[in-house]
Amino acid sequence: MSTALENPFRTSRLLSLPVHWAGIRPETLLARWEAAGRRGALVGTHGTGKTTRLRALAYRLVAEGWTVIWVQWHDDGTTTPDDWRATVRDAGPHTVLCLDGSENLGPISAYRLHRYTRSAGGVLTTRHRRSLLLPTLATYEPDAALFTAHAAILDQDAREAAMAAFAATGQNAHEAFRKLYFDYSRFSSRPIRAASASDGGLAA
Amino acid sequence: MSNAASPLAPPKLNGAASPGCIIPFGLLFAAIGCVAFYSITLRPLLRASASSNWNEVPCEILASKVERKSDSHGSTYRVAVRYRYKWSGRAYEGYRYDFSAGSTSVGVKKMRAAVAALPPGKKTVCYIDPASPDSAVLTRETGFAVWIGALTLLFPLFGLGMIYSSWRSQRTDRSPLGRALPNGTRTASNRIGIPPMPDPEVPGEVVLKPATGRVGTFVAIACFALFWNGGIGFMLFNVIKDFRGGFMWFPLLFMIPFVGVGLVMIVIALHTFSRLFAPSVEVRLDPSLLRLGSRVPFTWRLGNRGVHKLTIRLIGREEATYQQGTRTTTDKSDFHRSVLFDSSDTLSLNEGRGELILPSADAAPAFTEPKNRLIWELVFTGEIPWRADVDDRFTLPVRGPARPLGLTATPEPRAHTGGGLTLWTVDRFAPGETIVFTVSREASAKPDPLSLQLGWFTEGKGTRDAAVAWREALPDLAPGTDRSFEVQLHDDPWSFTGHLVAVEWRLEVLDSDRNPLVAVPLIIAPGGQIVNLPALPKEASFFEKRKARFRSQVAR
Repeated sequence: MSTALENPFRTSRLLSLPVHWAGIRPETLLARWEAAGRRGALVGTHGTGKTTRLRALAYRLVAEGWTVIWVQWHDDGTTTPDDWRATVRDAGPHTVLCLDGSENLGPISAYRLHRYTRSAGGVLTTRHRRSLLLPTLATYEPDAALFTAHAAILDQDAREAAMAAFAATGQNAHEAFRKLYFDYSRFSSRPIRAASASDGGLAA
Repeated sequence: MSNAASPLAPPKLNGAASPGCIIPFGLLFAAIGCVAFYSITLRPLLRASASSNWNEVPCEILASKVERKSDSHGSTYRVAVRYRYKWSGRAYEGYRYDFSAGSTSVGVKKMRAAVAALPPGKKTVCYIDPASPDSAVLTRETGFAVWIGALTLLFPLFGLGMIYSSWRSQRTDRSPLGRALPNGTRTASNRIGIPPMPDPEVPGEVVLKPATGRVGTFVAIACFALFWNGGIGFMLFNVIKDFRGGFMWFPLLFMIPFVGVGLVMIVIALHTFSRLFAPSVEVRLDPSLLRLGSRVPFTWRLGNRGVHKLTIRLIGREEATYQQGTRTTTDKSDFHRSVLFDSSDTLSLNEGRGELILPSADAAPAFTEPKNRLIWELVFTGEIPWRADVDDRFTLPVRGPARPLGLTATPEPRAHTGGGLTLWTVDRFAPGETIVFTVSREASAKPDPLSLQLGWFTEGKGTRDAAVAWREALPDLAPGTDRSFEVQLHDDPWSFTGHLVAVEWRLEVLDSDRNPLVAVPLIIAPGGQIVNLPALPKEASFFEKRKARFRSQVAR
C-alpha cells in the first residue's frame, strides 16, 4: 500500500495539473462573456473540469484588475464563504462574482442570488444544465483522452489504469482520480518521490 | 497555482447553509399539517366527544343519498341526509349524518350501507344539542377517514424536524473554534463534526460520552420514514382503491421502487428504535494518561439487557476530507485495531475493569484538523440476539509519550541555499527538542527584509491543512552577515505518513512578498524518523456482519 507522501494522485498534485481549455481558449471565453454583458455560465456534467476552469478564469480576471469574489456552494450544505448573501449583495460594479455550485440552492435562495448579482460588474458561474437566465459560454463533455493525459502527467505508468478508471466511474474525472489514488499500489510498484519544496506548503 | 496561495480561496469555514429558506419551509410544512390535522381529525373528535351529553330524540328521514363530488383529482363521497325532529314543541330539520369533515374517498361501501338503512320515511333517533337545538346529528361516530387524517401529523413533524436540524447547524456554526494550543493547533472538542473529547490537560478520571447519540439518530430516521411512507402509502391506497375489475399496471410498477425504499426505511427505523433499548455504556478513565506506549486503566458499566457477547476494541483511523468540484468526500482508513476485551461470559459483561494498551510503534498522536484527522476510538460492540447491537464509540485524545525517543546521534547541520541566502540547520528532531539554525546573507545580495517561519502542512488525499508554529521578522540582515535562532519545538503534530494523510514540517526563509527563498523539510518525530502508519484491510460492512450473524443464529 502506498503512503500519502508517495502517492502521485494526492490532492496537492491534482491541484497542480495544468488547466486544459478543451478547444476554447480563455481569451475566447472572456470575449464571449464581455459580449454577453459580462454574464455567463460554464456548463457540463460532474467531473468535466468546470470548477478548475472557472478558477483559472478568475485568476485571469484578477490579473486584469478586477476584484473577484469566489462563492462556492457545496453539496453537503456548506458554503464558502459562510455568509454568501452578504458577500454577493456587497459586490459593486468593479467586482466579478465567480459562483460555483449555485445549483445546490433552493428556489427561493436561487431567486435571491439572481437578484443580488444585479449590482455586480460581472457574473461567471458553473452549471450542470443550461440556464434561461445566463448565457452559456462553453459546454464541456467528459474527455477520456484528456483524463488519461492528465493521469500520465502524475504517473507515466498510469495510462491503462486511468482509462479503466475513467470508464468504471461513468466518465467522472473526480471519481476516476479517487479510484487511481486507492488503486495506485495495484498498478504501480516503482518508488515515487516524496513531496519537495517546489510543491508549495506554508507560504501563504 | 496552489490553493494556499490563492487570493480567491479564503479558508473554508465548514459553515452550514443558511437557514434562511429552510425555516420558512419548515414553518409552512408545520402550519399546513397543523391546519389539516385540526380540520380533518381533531375538530371531529372534539365534537364527537362534546356530543356525549346531547339528548336523544325521535326523528323521521326525509331524504338520503351518497353524494359524489368529482374534480381533476378524482371523486370523493359523503352521506347526504335530511331528517325532521321536534324539540320543545318546535319542528327542526337536520342535515348532519356524523362528525366527519367534508367528503372523502375512504369508506364508500359503509356510506352506501348507511344510506340503504335510512330510506325516506323511516323513523329513527337523532341527537341534539340542548343548548342549540338546531344542531343535530344522526350518529355520534366520527368515521374512518378521521383516523386516516391523523397521517397529516407527519407534515408538522417533518417541518419541525427541518427547523430543528437548521437550528442545530446554525448553532454549530456559531461555536468558537477553540482555544489555541502553543503550536497553533486547536482542541478537537470544538471542531465542527468532530466528536467531543475530554481535555487531556486536566488530570483525573472522567466519564466519557459516546460519539453519536441514539435518540437523535432514531428521531431523524423515524421522521423521514414516516413522511416517506405516509406519502407513498396514500398514493398506493388510491391506486388500489381504483381497482375496477383490473389494476392499472403502470402506476403499480412505477411505485415498486418507492415502496421498496419505504420498506428499507422502516427496517432501518426499527433497527435504530431497538438500539434505544440496547444497554448504554459508561466508561471512566483518566484522559491525561492517554499517551502512546502507555497502559491506561479504565472501567466500564453496561446495563446488561440481553448482551451475549461484548468486545472492546481500540481503533486508530485516518480520515481525509476533500472537495471534488462542489462535492465533499471523506475517506477513512484504519491504521490500528486491537481487541482489549472479548467475552461471552454474561456474568462478566455488566461491568468490568480493563487496560487500554496504546501502541508505541506504527502510531501517532491524535490529529484533528478540519480536513485531515487521526482519530483514536474506544469501540464497545455488544451482541444481542435478534435485536440491535450495542455499538458505542468514544473518541480519545491520545498524545505522544511524555518523553519521546530522542535521536541516537545528532546529525551534522547542512547548508541550504537560495536567493543569496544560506540556511544552516539539522533536518531531523525529536518532538519537544530545540532547533538551532543560522541564516547568512551573501555579501553581493540585496539587503531586502526577510522573515522566517516554521510550520507544518498535510499531504495526501485530503484538502491541505497547514499551520505556522513559529514566525519571526528579519528586517535587517545585512549582506555578508549571519544570524542564529533557537526555537523550542512542540510535542505535536509528528511527521508521519499514512495511507490518506501525511504531515510534513518545513522551515522557510521568505522574501518581503512572502515567497520562500529557502525551504527546508524537517522531520519532527521520535528518533528523528518519520512515522509510517500501516493501512489495514477494510472491515466487513454492517450488512455483511449482520448477514453472518443471522446465519449463525439460524444455524443455532
